[in-house]
Amino acid sequence: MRKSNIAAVLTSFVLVASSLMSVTPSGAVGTKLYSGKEWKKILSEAKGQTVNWYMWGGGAKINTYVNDYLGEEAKKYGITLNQVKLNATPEAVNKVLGEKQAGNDKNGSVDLIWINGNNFATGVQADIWHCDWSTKLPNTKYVNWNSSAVNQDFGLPVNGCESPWATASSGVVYDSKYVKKSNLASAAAFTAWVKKNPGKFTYPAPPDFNGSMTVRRFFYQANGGYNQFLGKFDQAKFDSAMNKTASLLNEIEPYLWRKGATYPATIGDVQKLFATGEISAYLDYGARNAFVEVNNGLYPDSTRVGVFGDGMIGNLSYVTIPYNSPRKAGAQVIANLMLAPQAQMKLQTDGIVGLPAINMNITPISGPYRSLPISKHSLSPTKLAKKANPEISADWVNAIDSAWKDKVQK
Amino acid sequence: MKFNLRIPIIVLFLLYLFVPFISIIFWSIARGWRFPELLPTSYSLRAFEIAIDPSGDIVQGVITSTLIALVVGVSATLIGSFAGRAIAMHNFRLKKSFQFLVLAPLIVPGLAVTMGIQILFIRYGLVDTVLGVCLAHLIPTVPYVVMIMTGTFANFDRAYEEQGQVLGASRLTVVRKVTIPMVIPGLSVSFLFAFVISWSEYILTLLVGGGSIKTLPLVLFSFLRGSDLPLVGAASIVFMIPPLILLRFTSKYLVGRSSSMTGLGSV
Repeated sequence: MRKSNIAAVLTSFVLVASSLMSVTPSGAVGTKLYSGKEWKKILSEAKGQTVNWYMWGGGAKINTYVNDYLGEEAKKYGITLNQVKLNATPEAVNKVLGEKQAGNDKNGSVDLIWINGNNFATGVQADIWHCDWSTKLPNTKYVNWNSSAVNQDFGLPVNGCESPWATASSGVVYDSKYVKKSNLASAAAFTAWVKKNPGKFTYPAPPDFNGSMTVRRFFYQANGGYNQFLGKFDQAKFDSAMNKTASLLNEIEPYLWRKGATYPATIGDVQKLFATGEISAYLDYGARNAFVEVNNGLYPDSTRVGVFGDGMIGNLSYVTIPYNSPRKAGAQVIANLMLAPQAQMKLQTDGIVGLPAINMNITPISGPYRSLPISKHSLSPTKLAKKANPEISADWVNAIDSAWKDKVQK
Repeated sequence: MKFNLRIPIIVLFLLYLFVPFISIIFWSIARGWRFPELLPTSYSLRAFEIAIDPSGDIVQGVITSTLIALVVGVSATLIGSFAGRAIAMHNFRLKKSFQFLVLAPLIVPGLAVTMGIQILFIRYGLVDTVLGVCLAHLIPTVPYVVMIMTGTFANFDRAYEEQGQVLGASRLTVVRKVTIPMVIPGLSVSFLFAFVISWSEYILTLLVGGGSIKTLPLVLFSFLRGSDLPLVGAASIVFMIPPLILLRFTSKYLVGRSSSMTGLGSV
């Protein structure tokens, strides 16, 4: 119950998070694409299909992008894109699960789902995804499938069952009047700054999405990185890692806002504290958008966005196709359209879903992309994604969040 | 030692009432307002520009809230007037129990009841509808109207109505020309109360409306969760205006018969 709630929160946040990118410029693709003939067959099959895309429908700008932009692009291929708006992604997963239980293996109603993290994992467990297609799409040549941030979704191998759409990577929003660039040289350098500047930093209490991310970043920090946590959840490993994390967080707690006696409930509260000048830095998946607040006058002109020298945390959201969709061809064409360089650049310029999921530098429009203006109160996607640490699986995330309550918040 | 406490108490009371408004007003027109500035250093009307955007959340919220509060104000006043008249002017079996039941929503904690209402409304398909929200808002509003109208009808002399009938007026004419003019102060105050309670209702709207009926309090709360304090300020000011306008027109009935005391300051 709790897990699926958190998954819903996770997913819907990624949907809303107007953030970032984690593709490192390497461009290598290890998998074979569809041959020209195979793709032609898919295109002709797709013609005339109506693809039902089940996705969180609470973002007006996202809906405009999907219907007015992607919908029009799909028409060029004779495909009708039908957006089915959800309150939360588990609704779509449950629908497919229900169809499977009812024995509807051929004529499912869901053709495409916007997804990541625990919702994807649920479907993998129940074996309801169509696989071995996403790494073959023509536009997937721009996707850096070699990166573990791409070929693993919250620690779970993607296996060609889902195709990337957008990236969210976190950053540090800070006031350059009080925080120097050198204070962000590493997570350790930053905690040193926190201790020297009592009351000037805080983070929202998990399970707030951004609070959870902040704690997770310190979890990596206290344990020398994320590698050992990429696999399945391990209680013994977790206990010792969490103890180290708790002692790190408790060490800085007296130097937090209000001496850590209380934590803000939401990222909105933290942003308010920054706007009123009470704190001077915070971690946020939406850090890139700080420039909007500066333009509105809410944040000071000295606001900057940075990343720890040893990386922040980022994740990708994907689209997947259920095993029983009768319109897999149309769904694949749409997934391919979403990865087109123009469509990906539009993600960034419209500031909606997240940042490009592909390596824009190896696309034909890398020039125009690079010359997109970046506010000095923001950070380029490439810099944000630098050394981005991947997410770990929902089991770990949930365990960390609830242990934080017992051991840090108390 | 003789010391007049009246003035200091009035001053304290006024401060208590108005100081929060001062910060709201400043926030609504501040460009930014950071510690340690005593007052904002630059101002902007950005928040109000967003607030009056016809397709924006605030204008939409005002429209939804006004519609609901008007429907609730009129229905609650109607329902409550009949009940109030019955209680004040008639004797019937189980009258005491009836009175208790009518006032029960004021005594029972609202949140506890709301959960039950939600389940019931889901069953009847009333959740996520304007009708459902209006029905739910009748629960906290009707008891106030009944109380006010019981008081109004307690001083009502039926002889006036009888006089009208004797003079040949139809029942409807009597209601229109005699009854309503006599109880109009009570009706106005009832409508004001019902409107204002419905206007500021949050929990019932959230649970019954399921978040899809976005009244102004819901919009305000969603702004509060964000970081845009000027927008919160502007929304709060917009939020206060309709009840104040209504108060302007009903205040004479709140302070007694003197129609010279219509100024807002006297309320």
